[in-house]
Amino acid sequence: MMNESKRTASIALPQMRKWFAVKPLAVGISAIFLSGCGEEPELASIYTSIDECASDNPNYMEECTSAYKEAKDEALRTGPKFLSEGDCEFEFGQDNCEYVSNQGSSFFMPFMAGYLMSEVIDEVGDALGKKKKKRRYYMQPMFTSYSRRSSLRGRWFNASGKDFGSLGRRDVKVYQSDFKKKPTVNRTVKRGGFGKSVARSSSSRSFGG
Amino acid sequence: MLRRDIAPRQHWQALAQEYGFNFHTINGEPYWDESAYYQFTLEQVERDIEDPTQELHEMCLHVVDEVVQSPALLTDFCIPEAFHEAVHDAWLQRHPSLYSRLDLVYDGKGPAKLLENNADTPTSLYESGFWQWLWLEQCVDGGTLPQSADQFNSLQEKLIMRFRDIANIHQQKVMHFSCAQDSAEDRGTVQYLQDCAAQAGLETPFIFIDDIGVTETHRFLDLDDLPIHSAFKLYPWEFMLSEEFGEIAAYSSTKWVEPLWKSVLSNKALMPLLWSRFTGHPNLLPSFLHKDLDKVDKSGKWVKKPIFSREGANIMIIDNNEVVAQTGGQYGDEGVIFQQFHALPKFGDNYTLIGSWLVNDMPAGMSIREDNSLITQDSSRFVPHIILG
Repeated sequence: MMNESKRTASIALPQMRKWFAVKPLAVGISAIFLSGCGEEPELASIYTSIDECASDNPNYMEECTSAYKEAKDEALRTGPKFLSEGDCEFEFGQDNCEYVSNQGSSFFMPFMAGYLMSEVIDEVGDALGKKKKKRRYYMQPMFTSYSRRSSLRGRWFNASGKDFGSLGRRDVKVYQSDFKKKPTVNRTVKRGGFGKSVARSSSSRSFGG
Repeated sequence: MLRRDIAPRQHWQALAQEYGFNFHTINGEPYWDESAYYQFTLEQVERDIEDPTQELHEMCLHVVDEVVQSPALLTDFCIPEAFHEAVHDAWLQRHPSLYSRLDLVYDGKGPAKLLENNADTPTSLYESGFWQWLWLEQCVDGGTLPQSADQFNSLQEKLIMRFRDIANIHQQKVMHFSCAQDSAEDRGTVQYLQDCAAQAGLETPFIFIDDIGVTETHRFLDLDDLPIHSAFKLYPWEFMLSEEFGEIAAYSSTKWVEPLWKSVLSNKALMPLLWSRFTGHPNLLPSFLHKDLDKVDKSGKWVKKPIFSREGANIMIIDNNEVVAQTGGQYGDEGVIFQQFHALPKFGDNYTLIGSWLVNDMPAGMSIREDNSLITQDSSRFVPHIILG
């Protein structure tokens, strides 16, 4: 006869996975939301292939190609990863996951469904103090889910889980402030009144016990 | 109680990455160690750990009830006078608590001895409630452990239930979560509690403790300038009270978890009080406040602990007035207690310490840490356990 169990009978494992945990973005081309794009929305387009991008932007085949490649690398680095194909398909749908081996570890990942590309024009001062305009491109890998169990089914989303709208949409607005929404409030707020007891250190050890 | 070797699961590091357990190795040293596990009988767990945990907890609350009403005792607990009223009110108004962990010395026979009560900011919760649960589940599925193997671990379901209760008591659907920066372990512990709270239906925004803002009208705000009505903080009350916002926090309308009365329950001055109120109890060790030291026989082995020490810092073992072991750290200015030395059991080269968890008032599970030294520090390793037979 079995005794009554002394442990939690079941745990919702999918809810414990952390593949949408905030991960640091690489600096450079991928750092779209951390770049100095201010509060003005930037228009960005989602492409599912290099050809699609190039047909929209006939003179920018090179940019379309390099953005695609960077997005693939970024997807590998920051995208959702699973040990089993079943767990990946639970989230992303059947036949939407591939086996990937990278730097000695292997796992299953959803296919990159597309990539977001936006053009940013920076004003750069030259040696004579004249303002010059400089074009730059930013990209992010995009994923989607075909799983009935996923709340992101049929949506575009990035590696940190941000929803960019339904698959039918290809032009989206991106804001730096999407990630930190700060409504303007007209009152004085003082910060930094907690935390001084903890000496800054690079240790990852606990201040608890 | 046995320590047994077992093969680590293949790819467990990749699994840890998938689940966001990113402090299994700390500063290059292993912290989670699944090359072994401890095996207990059901009787050992129920008779020697679970039941005494319940009883010790009730005794502790009995002492808290006495301390909060006595300015003299609160002063012995190094709680500044400015906060006496706030501590007292938090207790009388029964501000709800979430969890705590009793550290016990136990070797499989005889009564477990209480070393201290980590009631304010206990860590190693994720490893206990989720990660060792998953380890057992997979070892049973993989056939390396028998189907009948169980574990003393209902932490996760109890935490979820308790968050639901606290949300009802606070009448808040949103609970902010906070800890200090720069500790992956603390952030991981808080993330786990956010996950549990989310499963209880709460919204769980996160903010680092030093980002918390205060208005001129003494309301706490998050980085979106939204009010913090209810907040879990993995940050010690004694730190908070010594800091600029301390007084505002103690008397604010923000509901803190853990509540302010945990500054008494988690205080090491509790140990001498327990001993004086329940002298000779089999689960207690003789303990004394520094000021009472000349009233006691100091021969034999004693442990000197700062009242606010954490993670085994500034602990000294004294044998007939000679220091035989000690650890460094930055605690101790506030005052110390003396507790009779009771050696941790040794399994191979490992000294073993039991953590016995409570969620609110209910015993909820067990965790085991090993260290190579008699004083369990933050260099210790977490080893899973099973119940068999």
